[in-house]
Amino acid sequence: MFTNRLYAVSQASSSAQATPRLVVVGITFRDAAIELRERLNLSREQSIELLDKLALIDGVSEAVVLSTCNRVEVICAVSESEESCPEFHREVVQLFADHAELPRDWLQHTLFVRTDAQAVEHLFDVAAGLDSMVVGEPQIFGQLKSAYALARSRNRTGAILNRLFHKAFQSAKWVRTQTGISRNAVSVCFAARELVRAVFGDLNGRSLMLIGAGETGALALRHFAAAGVDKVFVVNRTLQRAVDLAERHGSVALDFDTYQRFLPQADIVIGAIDGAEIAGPLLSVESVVKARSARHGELQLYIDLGVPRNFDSEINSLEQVFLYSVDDLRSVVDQNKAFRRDEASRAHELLAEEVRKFVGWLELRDADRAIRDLRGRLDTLKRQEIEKSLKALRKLDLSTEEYRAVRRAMDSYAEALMAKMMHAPFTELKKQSRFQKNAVDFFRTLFSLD
Amino acid sequence: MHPLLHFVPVASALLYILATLLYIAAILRDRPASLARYSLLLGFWLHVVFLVLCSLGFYSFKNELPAPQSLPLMLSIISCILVGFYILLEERLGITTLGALVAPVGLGFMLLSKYLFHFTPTHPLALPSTTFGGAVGIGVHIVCVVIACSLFAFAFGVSVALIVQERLLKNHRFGAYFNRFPSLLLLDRLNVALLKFGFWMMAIGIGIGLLYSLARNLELTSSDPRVIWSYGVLALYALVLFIRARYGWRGRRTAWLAVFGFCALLASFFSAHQLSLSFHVY
Repeated sequence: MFTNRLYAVSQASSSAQATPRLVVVGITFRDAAIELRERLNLSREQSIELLDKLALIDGVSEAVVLSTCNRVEVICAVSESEESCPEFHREVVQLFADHAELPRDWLQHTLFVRTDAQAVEHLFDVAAGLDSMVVGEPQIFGQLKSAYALARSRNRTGAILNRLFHKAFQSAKWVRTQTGISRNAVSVCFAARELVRAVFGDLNGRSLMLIGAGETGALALRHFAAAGVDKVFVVNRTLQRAVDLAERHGSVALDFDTYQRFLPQADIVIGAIDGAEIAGPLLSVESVVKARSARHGELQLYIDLGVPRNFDSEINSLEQVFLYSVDDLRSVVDQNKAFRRDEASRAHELLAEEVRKFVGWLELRDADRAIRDLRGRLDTLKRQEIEKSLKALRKLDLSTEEYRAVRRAMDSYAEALMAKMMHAPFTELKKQSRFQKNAVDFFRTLFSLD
Repeated sequence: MHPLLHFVPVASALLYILATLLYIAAILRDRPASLARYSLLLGFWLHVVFLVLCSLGFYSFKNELPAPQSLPLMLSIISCILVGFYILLEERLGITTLGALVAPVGLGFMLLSKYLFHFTPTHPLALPSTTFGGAVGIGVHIVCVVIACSLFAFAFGVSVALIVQERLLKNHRFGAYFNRFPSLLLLDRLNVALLKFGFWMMAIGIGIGLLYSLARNLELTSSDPRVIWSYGVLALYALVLFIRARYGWRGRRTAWLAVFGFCALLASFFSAHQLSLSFHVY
């Protein structure tokens, strides 16, 4: 089980100069209950402290710490060597265990580990909201940006994580525009707003009557006030409570016994009274018919957030009147969530290409470094051999000009010979580094670059 | 006929087809409909070119009639004006998704007018020779009625969209695609604006026709079925607007009346002249 949960990164060569690898270690809402996530959750100061401790771990060149209510993760660039990687895992688990005051051995079974391409894919998914409780939720993007900004401000990121996060943010934005993962309401309040838009369009100039100034009503009012509703009436059995809520939003408080006189003035009527506290529906079909007549048949929308319902369901049968209960809105939300899930599979396909490109860059980066190292070695050899050969030529008593010409010719010859000889190996290395995990390591060993 | 002349109506029809498909794709994928708009705009301008060439005599119709008396040509003009109105209002009102209805209407009338190239009208009663003022009057009459028909056709499309959306909302089938369509309130207001404007254009057109007939002692009102039918259609639209204003019959009810009114209007093109002799071809 230990080896199932923790991926042993011990395939590295015995090279002293290690290749940095991407590693993500952490927990999410999928693996851990909220109690564990709460214990592992890190404040900003604790994140800074963890970043500093990670920097002290042998082999860790770059690190970012992400801590939200649904996940706690560390994203690191770790030098791959026999010594550094197992040590890194032990240290990270110990750090988490120390912070949460939990047994290290137990925590090892809960933490997930992703490396290389899987780590890149995981991060891209997280940034796009594909790994969130509600697919496509936008908050994680901002949280990830903050975590990255914090690490960067502490100089804990470098070339690899800078590029990784930059690409993750870019891909997330792109996927959100190309798919519907972040479209349509996935909460009852936002579904109600979208419903109002479907009926009335722009909310500016619209009037709203809120019946029930409790928690549900206050939340609904906040959403609609933010959406730009013009005129608001607040009704509550306790007038003072209606007055208090109305004052907070610059609205008008109405008495519970006389509010129906103002019904014709409301385009949107929200019922948010705990239905158990009232005997029967607040509004009957007759009162809505009267209001409709006074409005000369203008559209009117009733949203019933009460359970049991506040309004007579027959209201929906009237012309130019629409009634949606909280169950209807939840069913809309469920449809929207299903729509987002369908879009998520398309988003995964789009992201897969971006992941492939980034992993290719990582692999090429190693290959490029190996090629640079070999070129440097060959240049040194070239200079040494040319010097040896020139020493022999001194016996020929050449003039300075002739000596320089010979030197130039030998230099050009050696350069051309090296370039022609190494072109094929370099090209092959770049190609093979995409498919063969140890191609670069083998190349370095072959030419004794380490 | 020069081969290039074939290109114009065919290209226009193909662009209308492309615009329809692009509008539908934009709705399904929730994307901006810029390509659809350009396609519709280009199709519209080619349609205008086609109509100008028709009126200049570059195209021949069976049983050749003067342009204003050619039903295929009139239908084509009506659809062209309809598409033009839509293009003007599309971005201003945010009614992009209606393009998926308007583009096929433009195409449909173009295709219909192609088949009606073989249309054999009953020859109308000959109008007595007229003065310049009379000719202008007939011209204004035709223009007003054609514009009215275009507006009623547009209102028909808007009414269909309103009826469908209203039913979906009423049955709580408010799904993921809904935020891509215009609101019910916008559709209702657009519908009534089109009906009002169309009604007045038709009233002016019929009024001028009536004044002309009175001036020429033609006694059309008592014997011409086309004229009687037109009065009926005008009265129907007047009733729609009256009922809306008086009894608050908005939204779906007005939409259904507008649909019925347009069907009556369409029927008048094809059947009125069959009843008995008329000064109108259609």
